Amino acid sequence: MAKNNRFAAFVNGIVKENPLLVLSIGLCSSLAVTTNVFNGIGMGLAMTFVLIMSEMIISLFRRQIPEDIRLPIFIIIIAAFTTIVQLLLNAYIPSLSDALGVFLPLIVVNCIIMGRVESYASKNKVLDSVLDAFGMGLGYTWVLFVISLVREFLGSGTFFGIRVLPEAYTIAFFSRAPGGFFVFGLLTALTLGISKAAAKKGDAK
Amino acid sequence: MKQMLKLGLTLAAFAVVSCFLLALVNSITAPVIAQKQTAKMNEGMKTVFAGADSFEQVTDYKASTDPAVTIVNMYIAKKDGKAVGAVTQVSGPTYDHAVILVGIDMNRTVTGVQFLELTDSPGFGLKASDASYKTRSGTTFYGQFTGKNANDGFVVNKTFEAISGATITSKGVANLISQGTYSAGDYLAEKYGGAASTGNAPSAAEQPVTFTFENAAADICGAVTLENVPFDASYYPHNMIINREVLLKNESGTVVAAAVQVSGQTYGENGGSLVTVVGADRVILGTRIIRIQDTPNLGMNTATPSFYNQFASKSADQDLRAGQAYDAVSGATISSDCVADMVKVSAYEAAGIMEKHGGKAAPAGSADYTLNEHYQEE
Amino acid sequence: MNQYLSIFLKSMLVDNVVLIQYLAICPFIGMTSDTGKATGMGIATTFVIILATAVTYPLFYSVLVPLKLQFLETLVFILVIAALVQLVEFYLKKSIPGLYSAMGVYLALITTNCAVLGTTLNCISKNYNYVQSLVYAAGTACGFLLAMTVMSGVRERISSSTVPKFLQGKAILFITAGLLSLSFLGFSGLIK
Repeated sequence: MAKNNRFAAFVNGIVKENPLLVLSIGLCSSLAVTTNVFNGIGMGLAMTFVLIMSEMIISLFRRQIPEDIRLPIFIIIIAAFTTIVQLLLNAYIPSLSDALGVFLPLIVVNCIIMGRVESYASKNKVLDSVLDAFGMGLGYTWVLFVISLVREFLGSGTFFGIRVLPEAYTIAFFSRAPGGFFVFGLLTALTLGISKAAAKKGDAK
Repeated sequence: MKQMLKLGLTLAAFAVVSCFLLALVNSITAPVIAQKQTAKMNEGMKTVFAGADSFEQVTDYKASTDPAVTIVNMYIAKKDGKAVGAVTQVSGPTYDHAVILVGIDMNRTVTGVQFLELTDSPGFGLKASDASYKTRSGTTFYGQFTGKNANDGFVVNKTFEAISGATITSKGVANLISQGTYSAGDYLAEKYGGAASTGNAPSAAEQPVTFTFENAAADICGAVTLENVPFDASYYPHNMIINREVLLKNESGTVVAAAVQVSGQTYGENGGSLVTVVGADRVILGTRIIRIQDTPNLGMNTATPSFYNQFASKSADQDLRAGQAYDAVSGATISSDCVADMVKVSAYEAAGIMEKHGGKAAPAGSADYTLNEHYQEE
Repeated sequence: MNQYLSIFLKSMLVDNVVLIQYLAICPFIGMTSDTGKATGMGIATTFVIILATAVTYPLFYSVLVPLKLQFLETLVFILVIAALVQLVEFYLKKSIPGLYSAMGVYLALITTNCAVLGTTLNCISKNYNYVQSLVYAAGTACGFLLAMTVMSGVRERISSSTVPKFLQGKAILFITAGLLSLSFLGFSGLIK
């Protein structure tokens, strides 16, 4: 029974309570770095790392963290892991850290992390928290992947840097700011539509 | 109180542990990051100096001879530990501003030029850094410098081809390259036995300079005392305004020269004003611009020493015409002629004052002089 | 003077913090349903952005750099911002309790506003001097306020018009934001 619940919690973040499409949090970084798939996945993984580590540590120490000062402590922990990701990327994958730019340190104010840590990790066991983090992170990453897939394909005609569409057919709009909003909006609509249809089907049953 | 202390300590504990962890990660990654940055810089420099395998930064090079141009960095290019040339990063004015990397070998031959930054006008000066712009010889603008020797100088349309419609940018870039190659060349010559320079140091792109009346007099005649001469303010020779007439006296009180300041039209809307000093023999000792408003890099260059010094030792009685008494500023003929007109009028008036104080008399017919008078052509 | 004007206009319009730089989207989407709330949030955030820049910039250059602790930039900046927001909360609670109760939890949310941390980090990475940083912060803040106000106005219109079924909810907001962003792209030639 517990195992089922754990699995459900894991899957939760991927679809049902997808942070970007359903909860609409953590949007800032998602739109800016999705101009190509490499950046999108890179950001997703970086954020997932910080999320998992933060949820793990905070859940581990949840009884030691006094309620009154929990916010500053959360911030310290999240900021520490964000900085670690920054340093590691700067050293070993500088192309990604250059591409992500200011959004890499902005992971620390990503509402997803703050939100999950506050509402879940501080109240649940370590394993559950890690699974939740995994699920949320995966949910975040796959959405980023889809958005950047669309934007890279339509905007620059490439996939992961490999040219797929001749340059003449690319629509620069999708690589610029408005394109990000549009694609995200349409994806949100699509998801809403699918979930509504699924709910209807479920009701009909 | 105890509660607060406990909270404070907990907070501090988390903070300290986090910072410790961060410092640990930082100490591992910092050298890797630094190494990657050096590699990146080396790669950038290899584009202007392909034959080197390492670059060593030096800081004791000579500064540029042009105050507007800065030699930001210099690196000695080394192969197998031996110096094979140098790469300099130069920053300075073009039409707007540019930062370039230029590499030279031990013979002062350019190995490559690359733009790090260029903010000139798109379609004009910006072509200088454009990889798809080709000169008549088929290279990019910056590519044509490769293989040229710094000792031959970088002269527009003589040793290199300027960009049509972007002469100022082209000259500006050439100036940056001259400065960079000269300083690097001298450094290599001094420290690594590189080829010596066969020419002079590149001259600074001259800046226009204006003077006050007193400074102008001092600049031309040295230490003199000024004595104002009353004049008829309603007299407008050739439609110019006479602002001031002065006798210049030396220490013993002898009149050595007269100075007259006039204001007149130039190419710019607000015109200009200058002062000319004439000696007892009706020869111009010098002229200086007091105020001028004109197009930068063009008409404004009439206020550069190499332009206005041309009028020194000319006679106040001769006609001042371009091509004869002086060379106009390239691309600013009207401005040059307007300034020459003001010089002529002020010189003639000053010569007239000197005549009253023991100077040479005006030759017959000299009062009927003509000017270039472009403004009347409109 | 020219230089400061161009930094201000650039950060307010050309690089608008929400519509071009993608920062502060959460409050942009979440708080613009009501014009009053939107403007209130906008003004409070403006204040925090400028204050945060004014404090973090000297902190970075006079403490972190000399001690070679640049890697603590993220950590220190966000803590400073959190502290500043707390101070602003205290101050509002004491002097303008009406505004404080109206803003409620949103005040604390300014801490996680990407625009605040983003602006402070940008000033460092762009190598601005102190005055330039403050001008940049002011421009960014005005850009944020502008975006918030415009969006809340547009949302009022949206609420009274018919939206295609599948676009209802958040989707239409993003499409709208996209259109706004497109129009702001028109500013891109304004500043060199």
